[in-house]
Amino acid sequence: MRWIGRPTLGGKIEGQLPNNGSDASPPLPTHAVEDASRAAFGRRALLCGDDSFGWGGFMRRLAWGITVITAVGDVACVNDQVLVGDSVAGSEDGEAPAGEASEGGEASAGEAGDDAESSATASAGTGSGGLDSLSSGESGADEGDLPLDVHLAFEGMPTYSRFVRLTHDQWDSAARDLLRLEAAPGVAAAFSGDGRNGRFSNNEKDLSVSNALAFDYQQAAETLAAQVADNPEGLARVVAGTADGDSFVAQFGRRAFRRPLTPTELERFTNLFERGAELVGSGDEFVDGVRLVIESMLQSPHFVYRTELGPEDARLSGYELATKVSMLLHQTIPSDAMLDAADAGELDSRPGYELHVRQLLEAPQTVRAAQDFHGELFHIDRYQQITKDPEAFPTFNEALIPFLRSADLLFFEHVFADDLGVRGLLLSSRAYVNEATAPFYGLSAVGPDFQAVELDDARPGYFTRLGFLASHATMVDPNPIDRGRRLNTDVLCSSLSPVPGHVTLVPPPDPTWTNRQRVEAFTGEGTCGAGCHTQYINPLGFAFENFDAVGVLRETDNGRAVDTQSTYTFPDGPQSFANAPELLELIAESHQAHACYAKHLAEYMLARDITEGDLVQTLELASQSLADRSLQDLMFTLLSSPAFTTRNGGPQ
Amino acid sequence: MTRLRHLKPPMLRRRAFLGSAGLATIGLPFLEGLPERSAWAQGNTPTFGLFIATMLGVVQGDWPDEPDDRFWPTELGPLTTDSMRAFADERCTGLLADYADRLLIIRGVNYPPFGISGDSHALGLVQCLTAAEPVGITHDATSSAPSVDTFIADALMGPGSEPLTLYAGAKGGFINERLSFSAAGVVRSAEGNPYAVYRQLMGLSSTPGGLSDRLLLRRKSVNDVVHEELNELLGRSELSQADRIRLEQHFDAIRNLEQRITDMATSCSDGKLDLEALEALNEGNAFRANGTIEEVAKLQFELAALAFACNAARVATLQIGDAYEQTRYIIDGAVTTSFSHISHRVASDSSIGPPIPEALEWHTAIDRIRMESFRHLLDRWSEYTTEAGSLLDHGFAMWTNTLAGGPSHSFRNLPYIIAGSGGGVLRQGSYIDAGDVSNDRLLNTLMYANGVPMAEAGRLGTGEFLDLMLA
Repeated sequence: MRWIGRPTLGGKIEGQLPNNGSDASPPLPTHAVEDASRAAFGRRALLCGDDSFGWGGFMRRLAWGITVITAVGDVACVNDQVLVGDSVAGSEDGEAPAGEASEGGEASAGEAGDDAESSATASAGTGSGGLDSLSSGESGADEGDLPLDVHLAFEGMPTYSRFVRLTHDQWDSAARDLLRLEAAPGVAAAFSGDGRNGRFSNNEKDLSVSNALAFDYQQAAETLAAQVADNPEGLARVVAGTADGDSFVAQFGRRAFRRPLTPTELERFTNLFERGAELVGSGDEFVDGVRLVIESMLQSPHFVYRTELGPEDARLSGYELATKVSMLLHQTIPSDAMLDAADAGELDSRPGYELHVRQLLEAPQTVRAAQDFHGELFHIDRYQQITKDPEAFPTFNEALIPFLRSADLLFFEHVFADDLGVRGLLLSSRAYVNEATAPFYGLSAVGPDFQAVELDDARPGYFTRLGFLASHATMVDPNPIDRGRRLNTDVLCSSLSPVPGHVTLVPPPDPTWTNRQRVEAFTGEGTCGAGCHTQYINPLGFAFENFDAVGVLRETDNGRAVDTQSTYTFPDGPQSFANAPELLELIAESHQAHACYAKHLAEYMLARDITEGDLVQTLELASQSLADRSLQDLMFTLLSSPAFTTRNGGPQ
Repeated sequence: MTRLRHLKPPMLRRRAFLGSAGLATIGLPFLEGLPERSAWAQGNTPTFGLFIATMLGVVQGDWPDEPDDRFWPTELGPLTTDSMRAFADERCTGLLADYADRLLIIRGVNYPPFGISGDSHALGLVQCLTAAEPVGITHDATSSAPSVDTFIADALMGPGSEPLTLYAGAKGGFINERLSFSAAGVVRSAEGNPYAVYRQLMGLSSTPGGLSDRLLLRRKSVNDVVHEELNELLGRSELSQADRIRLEQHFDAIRNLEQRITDMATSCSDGKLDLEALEALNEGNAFRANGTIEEVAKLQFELAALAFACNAARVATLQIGDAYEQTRYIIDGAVTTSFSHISHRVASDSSIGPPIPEALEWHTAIDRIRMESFRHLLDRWSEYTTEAGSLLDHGFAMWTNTLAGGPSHSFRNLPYIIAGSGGGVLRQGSYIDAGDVSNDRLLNTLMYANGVPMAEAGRLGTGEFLDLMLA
């Protein structure tokens, strides 16, 4: 990432602001904005977002109508929050970001965006030949010249690490299969957490071995090795097919390291095996050797990391590919059959590799990858924070929260297993209910087990299920700002501004207002939120106003009819809708939603940030998605692509 | 440049903390049977530092609608128990009145004027212990330099040594831990489970029989193998700088683990640490459940002290809450809305949305709850004693917030409370105005108070110190 210019204060502040950044003056610190605002307005002043949100802004419009945000510094509106105390990015080289006040301080977002567009188009150097060439990738997609009008930010900074540490889930599942346990040991749940910078927890940048994690690995390795050694049946499974220390080291090591051991490694671990009696001392030299080797290999960097050690831009080795795809789809080590295929060189050819990828994709455990992807994309871990006012919602309690999560995981499984894609995610009538959750849908069910039901037209797709609705609400009311924000960022990849600029005097709330009226009063026309909120955030949230804070359908709010109508400005123009189902239909047909989904899917499956170098691949996926290809198909396309199969994702 | 005048910390006797000095409620038996490599056992006078960062600002009268200051002491100058009690009902720092003579409260400190733009939550968090210009402006924000605890750990424990990195509360996922940086752009994960911290510090073995000589030898042998493998990988020519950093971090982690095994495994006692509380918070991941944040913070205060006693760390950080802290506190018997909404004064995580009429009073109450938690640290740390004094004599705890105020989200006049003298280096019993300076000067001075030689302590920002902080 690069900053194209040093940020300066650029937000437009109505009133007396000593320096609005429209000249070459030095940048003002954030507090200057606040102080100026405070000085200008005596009371009840709100600092809030600039109007510069949108699909325009300071972005690069490429020849085929695709706008690419290449770096944070390029972007005037880049956040999914509207926050106080912030100012807009500017540039020291004289280029004004969208929304920055130009001479006279009155430039609008659109004006600035137009300027940026025209200058950026000339400098756009990535890609050529239009979408025809973009949508005909390795997978043979035939969507042809499908025109896309989308806006995507490619601000990522991948490290393209050669040592991608296993996630904790992967470690646990890998230990299960390596030790041939019946179930995952569950020890990794207590491992020290990772600092999270990326959207997904498998992002290479966040996966390192800290002091605490090294300790956790040691403890887990000792525990599991002891369990194997102390259990004759378990031990027999682990050592099956081996006759002595040498053969055990070779066989176990091949599965632990996901490749044959080198002669040096064979000697190293054989020597360690032979010290078992000394270092364990149970009286059974073979068992002690096995235990010591297990302890050691579970802590080895060759087990802990998935490695890519070949030349830059070259195809990964068969062993590396076997591990990469197995870890992604099944969160575990490659099967013996997969390793055998690597031994035989089958994974070195594209047809052979793709055959095995198909088999992996069709395996039932691949559902887990689809669940993880959507669960993290839509932040379902946040459900644990749901709290509702017991007086307003006496039937909602904390015991429901795990059910909300489970139901959504089943829904994601449905999308994957039933060959659905983005449209299914947004529009499927399927839901999963049990006796606790069914009443919230106006249904009844028996028992704690979930059963599949088809809901009516009022509740299409994931975003009308209880989990999303209840987790994007206050204790009492729906939160259209939060709901709208999530759809903007997670589904449409729109960039919301953190930029304050205006200061607006706002009226006191009226106790007779509906929730929507309250939100509009403070964020709608005539307020400082008119830009971001009126066009982008609120409309998407208002569509769901007929779902209360726990997701139950309602017709009135505060004694008045709920109003779910609104208009949202898509990249290709504003579109009106009457309610959530109509909105979700529009989103399902928008190029932007498919492109956004493609970008997120690529980020998850490549386990790294996405850059402008991934543009071609992302657009191919988007085209396929728009053509109603299933999630499984999109995953296959990615797994077959050079972005996945080559070191560094192929030539950049 | 303002330079720190040289002060020699008072010498402490080799025999370190002895225990509770007669107090029955002592949580930790400081330093029973110290290992030979302990900082305490080398005739040194070690000092310890804990950097605590809370979120979402305090109520300090920096918002047009809220002119009343409910945080700072009423007058600059000496702090006494009586003077602090006099404003304890109106201003939360008064709740620390019993420790007036151990406090240094500092106003007039800001983040450096980088002129940056973006999400104040993220930017404030990133700058809090780095005083460095952030890279990225929202959930992608990271630091362009290591944080102060990294410099301290490197200087006092050797390059590659890790500070203790703690956390309290749930991690919402948008901007989680972002306080401690091992290098530019490399954030440390922070452990939020006190039980896990305890296990790591005590080196508890799940192996029956505990840490036998044979087990210690086995661990060493396994670690030797891992080190060999890492060395081989580090010898490869095709690695990028990022790859090397990752492997070196792993290498150092194994080395540190081995050193801890060797030094501490048989000598560090948990004393009267509340194991039941630790286990209760571990059960069902209660440590990250809504509403346990303050209990977790209190235990982390004690565990930091245990880490110091066990020579596992000389410096620690504790981030309390994530950048959009969603804790729902119980105030006057009722569960409030999320703290983030309260801080913004509206029912959203932004500046705009339906107002929350009670928000100011709730934020005031939350400030007082947080100050009561910090008082718990003072209670405990003053009990951990040697014949030469308490942990407050041997170290310091810095309490701050990543933002100055709630709705203002300001980076100016950040709240700083420093408890403890840092081995006699820091001024005590004072409320001072630093005079509109950047936090690099404060952090550099604390680096020195933590025991880093003066010549090496000015690692942040301009390299300047803040003389006013000195005794």
